[in-house]
Order: sequence, then structure tokens, then C-alpha cells
Amino acid sequence: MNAVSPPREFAWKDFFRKYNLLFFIAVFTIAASIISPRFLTFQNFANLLQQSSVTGIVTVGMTLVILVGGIDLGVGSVLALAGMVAAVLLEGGYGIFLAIAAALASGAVLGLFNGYVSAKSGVPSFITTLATMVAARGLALLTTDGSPVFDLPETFQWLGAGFIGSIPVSGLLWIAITVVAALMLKYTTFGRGLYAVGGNDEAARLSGIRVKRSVIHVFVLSGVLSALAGVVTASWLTVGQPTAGKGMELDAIAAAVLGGASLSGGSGGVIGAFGGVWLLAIITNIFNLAGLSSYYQMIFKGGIIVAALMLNQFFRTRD
Amino acid sequence: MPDKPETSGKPEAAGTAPAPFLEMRGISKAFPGVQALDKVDFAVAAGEVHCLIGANGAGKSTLMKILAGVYAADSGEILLGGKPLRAASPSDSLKAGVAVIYQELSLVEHLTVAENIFLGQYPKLMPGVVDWLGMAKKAKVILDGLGVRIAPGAEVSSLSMGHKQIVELCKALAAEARVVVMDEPSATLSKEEFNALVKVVFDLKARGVTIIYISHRLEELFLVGDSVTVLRDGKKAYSGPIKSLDIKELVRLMIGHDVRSGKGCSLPPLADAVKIEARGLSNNVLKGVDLAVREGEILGLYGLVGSGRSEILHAFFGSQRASGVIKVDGEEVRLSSPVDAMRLGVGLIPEQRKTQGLILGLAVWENAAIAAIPDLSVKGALIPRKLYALARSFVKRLRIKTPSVMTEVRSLSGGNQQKVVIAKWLMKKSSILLFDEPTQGIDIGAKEEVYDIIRGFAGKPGAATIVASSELEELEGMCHRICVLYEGRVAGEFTPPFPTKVILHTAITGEAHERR
Repeated sequence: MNAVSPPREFAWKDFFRKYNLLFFIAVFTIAASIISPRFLTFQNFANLLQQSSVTGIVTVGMTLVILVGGIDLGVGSVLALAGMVAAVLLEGGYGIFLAIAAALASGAVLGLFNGYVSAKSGVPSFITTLATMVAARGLALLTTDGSPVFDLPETFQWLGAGFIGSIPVSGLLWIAITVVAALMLKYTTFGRGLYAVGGNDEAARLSGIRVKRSVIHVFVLSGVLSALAGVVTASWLTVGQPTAGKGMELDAIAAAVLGGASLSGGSGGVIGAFGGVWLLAIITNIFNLAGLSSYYQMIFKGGIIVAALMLNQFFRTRD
Repeated sequence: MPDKPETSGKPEAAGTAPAPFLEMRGISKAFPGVQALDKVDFAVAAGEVHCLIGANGAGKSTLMKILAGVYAADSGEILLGGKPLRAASPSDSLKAGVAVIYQELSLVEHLTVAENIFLGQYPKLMPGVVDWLGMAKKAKVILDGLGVRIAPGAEVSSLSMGHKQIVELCKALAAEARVVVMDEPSATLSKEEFNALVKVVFDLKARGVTIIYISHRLEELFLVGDSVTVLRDGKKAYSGPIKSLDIKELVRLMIGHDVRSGKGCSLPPLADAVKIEARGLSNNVLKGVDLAVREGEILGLYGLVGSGRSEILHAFFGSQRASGVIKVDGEEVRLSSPVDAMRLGVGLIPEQRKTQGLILGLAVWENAAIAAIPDLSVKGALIPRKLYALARSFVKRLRIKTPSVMTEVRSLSGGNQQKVVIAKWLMKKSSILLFDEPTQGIDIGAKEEVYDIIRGFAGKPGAATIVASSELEELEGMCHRICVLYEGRVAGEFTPPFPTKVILHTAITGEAHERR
């Protein structure tokens, strides 16, 4: 019957294909620790965690959307709107929980809109969420006629700027969300359904998976997570900033894709996305520690994204 | 007809046979876990039509992809016209004169016939400027030369499948190909289209083009082929003139043993209770279909393409809207989605395995468990160990050949993929299974196994089965009853012994009785 030969010498290729992100992270970690002795300090890592948490939380939602073959360009605007909703309510004297709940609800509503239109009308999510990106930014600016809301209450700062022990709360929140999402993707019917929908929506439908419902849920999740990131941002800066989160969608997409998500859907995961965010954060950090201008940073980041994905592609097609 | 002695299956007798035009020597290729090709020698004489056959997974496509430069062989060499061919990429082998026409074709649908023929090598007026008139003229010369009437200016998307195949051949001619590989050209062609294609193939042969012809339809090989090479499990099982063989021998060479005939196998016993029935089923294709399937029964649906076979199954599965009444176990039901149908125990094995039946990027276990996962989970949480074990038991039971249940289903052969689709519904414990072309594109050995699985399912108490197929013989071998569809309605109903000619006549004319 079928001759089965033991796989030889493929092992390292497979390994690299699967874990090349770790390879990059390792390379840059080593480089960074050579460039600056301050890199490998606990304090620096705590800072990194705090700085990346906002992008990180948004990226979890983005990864889920990409997993079902969609894209969410509205994350940055939703982030800003949610931050403004929370800030305005806090300024008006409402309680913290109510403010946060209202902010998350605004994200959920916009997510529901994105999901509903994309799933039911057949308008590609790229277009639906492009519209949301523009409109939600307008809404965010409209809340205060474009001006920021300053001096948010001190108790509100805990979420974005507080620490548990010496670990930033926002970083813990990011890690917790990533872990929960990873477990959901691997061990729940909903999570497995997302891979099926992204991999082949017709086959998924004919296997009894409610495709449209899954897509709507994913966009709602992305909206809520973006809103949460908006709350964290407002809490961290103690300012409600209607222009917050500009360009966030591109960072999140880059991180998700660096983490192994395929834009055609069906593959990738949030652990990889975590690594993607982390890699981009390390690169920024290196440049800061080396005292180089952020303009170099941007060029280099662009280069790294292309290089990493080209390498990925190279190993993917070479078998 | 070839007038030269052919190469034989045994090691080529040195000296007597002419040097083959194309020779692949000792080709080996391994993929992780599978030795796809094991020291295969493949030799084709100049100007012949050489058939290449083998069961799915035997290594035909791998061998041809190596020839085309898509894969690199692990070992072995290729000689073309006596010179070594170093095909590191498809463009290398095309330059050397090897053109491959894949089953899914590689035409640009929205360009004209002429543009497609000269794709990548447009005639130019001066560098960078396309010579449209010259291109149309040259295309016409090629088309006329083959005696086909296709307008060079027609958009390819407007052509029939048969004409698209012919455009592909023209493209190979324009590229001055000396060897043309045709992968399953007839799979999607009607009889007339196929006859037209054969004429073109003979024309090419007359011009000295060497053709490698891959097909699952064994009868047609005798019509087009001069010689044949049979691959089995990555090794060469036979090579020689096709005239000295018959279909039975070819099949034996392909699968390594004789085929049991489906006919004469006992059918599962019939109960009186009607399991599923439809009355007045209508939509844009169906025109008032009445059907009833009893417990234990295997009902065959036969009809031409577009007669409504698939639409009936999709209506029963809730995946296509249809008005009318559907009853399961005597009770009227509303089926507005597959979820509704699955709740009533209905499962569909759809026609398009790869696009409708499977999620190719997911593992075997997950594809097999996908429908049953909600039933086997506790409050939405999966229990992986249980699912793997269950999947393993089905892999064993249905004899699915796969390195492991964690393997991506993409890498399985067609027959094994189909078994995974069936496993999906067995795992879901479905009681009504709807098979749409269950053996399309899978090899004879796997077909037999699929028939056995269907019979096994139908024999279970309370089961009902509908099989839609365009192969009448296959329905005759396993059905209690065959309904013939014609333009969306049931035109005739037949029980054994099946009157083959009348059934065919009914399918074509819509009338169950031959006119006097």
C-alpha cells in the first residue's frame, strides 16, 4: 500500500514556518539588549506592555474579523468614539461603571452595524467598515465639537495607568483577553466555527454552521474590544481625545498578519497576533532606546513587515 | 496509427525500440508522510497520444507537475528530444516546448480568444505596442488550421467548455509546444464537445505534436490513445500499447485486483413507513416534484445536467428555497436552513467536494466532526480528546487513508476526501442522507468503497437514502428505485430490473415511453 517514508530534513523548515515570528522576536530582543542595557530590564518590559496594550486589545478583535475573511477598518474611530463617550459621561458626573458600560455599548452597536451590513447585504466589510471609520470619527468629534475632555477623575486612571504589583493593569487586561480569545478559538464551537467560516463559508453553511450569525458576532466583538481600548486610552491619558486611534487599523492589521493570519480568512490566531504586536513594540523600543528619530522607525517597521511576510510566503510555497 | 514498436512495461529492450522523444527516468518525489512517486520511468514516443492513468493518489498529477516544472523531483532526470530538460519553473518547461493544460484551465475569462492564445507573447507593432490586427489574423490561422469555428475576437467567458479546451490547445500551438499534457480534458465535456476535441487532438498528432492524455474515463482512452502508462501507488504498473489491453485489464492494473460488480449485491430490506416525502416541490428549476422515500430505501435520481437533481436534494436539506410540502416521518416540516434539516436527521453530501463539502485548510478530524461538534460539546466547549478518538474510529471504519486525523484534508486524495464528507454525517448520526454525485472524480477502487458505505448506511433501521447521479450504471447497481427527472419534474419511475434504454430515453425526451 502507500509507502510512508519518515519526513526527513523538513523538520526545521516546518519549525521555522510555524515559529518564524518567535525567531524575529528573538533576533530583535538580542539586538536590543546589545544596543541598550536598559532593554532587558523589568521596568522596560512593563512599559512595553503598557504601551502596546491598546493596540494589542484592538488586534485581538481584528484577528477574529480577519479569521472569518473580513476586515475592520473602523477600529480606530470606534476607539475614539468610545473614549469620548466615557469621558463625556464622567465629566457629567456619572459613575465609572456606567461610563465604561456606555462606551462598550457604543462599540457593540457600531460592531453590530458593521457585521449586519457585511453579512446580510453582501457589501464587502472593507467598504462597510470604511464607512464606519469615517462616520464614527465624525461622531467622536461631534460629542464635544472637536475639543478634548480633560481632567478625568483619578479613580478612572487605574485601568489605563494603574499597576497590580509592578505590572500594568492594561497589560494584564491585554494578556487576559488574548488568553480567553485563544481558548475560545481552540475549545469552543463558536471558535472552531470561525475557522470553518473563514476557510470555506459555503461548506460551513452546508455543515449547519450559522455563517452570517458568526460574522455578526465577530464584528460585535471587534467593536467592543476597540471600545475597551478606547476606554483604556482615555484612562491612560486622563483625557478624552476625539482624534485618538488614528491609523490604529493599520497597526492592528499588520500585527495580525505578522502573527500568521491570512487575509483570505481561515488561518491565524490571537497568540500569533500577540507576538505581532510585541514585535512591532520591540522595534519601536529599540529606536527609542537608540535615540533615533521616529521617521526611521516608520521606514524600518514597513521594511520588517514586508520582510517577515515574504519569508513566510517563501517557506509556505517551498513544499 | 503508430508504426513503430512501442516501449514495453518491462525494462526497455535496448537497441530495438527507437529513442523516446520524452523520457522521465527514475523520478522519485516524497511529500511529508507520503512517497508520491517511487523511481518512475515514463517514456513517450514522438507524435503519439500517450495515455496516463492511475487511481487518485497514484502519482499522475505529481509526475506531470514535475514535467511542468511546478515541483522539483527528489531524484531522476528528464530528457526531451535526447537533451536533458532542466525544468525549474513552469516557464522553463514551456520554453522547452512542454505545455500543460490543467483541468481547471488557465484562461483569462474576460479577454478575447486571440489574446488568450497569445497571452504573454502578443505580436507587436513595435516594442510595447500590441499588433491587434496581426494577432487576430494569426489566431484565425491557428483556429482555422484546426478546423474549428471560433471567432478570435470572442470573449472567452462566452465559450462552451469544449471550445475553451480547444483555445487552450491553440495556446499550446502558438507557444510551439512539442509536448502537450491534457489533464482530464473530457471531465466537463458533453459527447459532441468531446468528439470535436478528439478531432483536434488527432490534428495535433498529425502535425507531430506529442500528447500525454490523462483521463478517468477509460473507454475514451481506446478512442484517442496509442499507448498507455498505468501508475499505481507511486510506481509504474504498466507501460505499452493500449490495443493489447481491454478495460477490465486496465482497471486491474490500476487498482491491483479485479473489481466486484455492484450488480447482484443484495439491497437492504424495505420497510413500509415513508421516511421523507415531498409534494409539489417548486422553485425556479423544480416544477412540482412529488417524491417519497421509504425506510431502508435507496432512491436514485437520474437526469441530465439542469434537470433538477441537485435542487431536489438542496430543497430537502433546506439549503435552497422551494415551495411545496415536505414531510419527515409523516409530519410536515419547515426547512428554511440546513440547521433545520440537520435537526431532523438530514445530511447532504454535496456535488462539489472541495468547495461545498470540505474546509480544505482544516484537519481531517475537524472536517469529519464539524456537523456533530455542537452535539458532542458541553455548553459550547469542545472536548478535543473525545473528538480525535471519534474521528479516528471513523477513519478506521470507512478506511480513510490519511497519515493522521490531524492532517489537513487538502492533502488527501479525492476518494478519501469524499469519505471524510460522508463521515461528517455518520458522526452526526443522520438518518436521511442525500448524496449528490457521490463518486464524481474518484477512482474505481474508492467508488466501490463508497457504494459499500452507502449500502451499509441504508441497511440501518430507520435510514432513508437518496442518490443523485449522472452515471446510470451506478444507480442501477445500488438503488431500489430510480426516478428520472426532466426539466424540473419527475418524468418516470423505474424499479428493477431497470430498463436502461427506456431510462435514457426518458432522461433525454422527458417521455417514459418510446414513441411508435
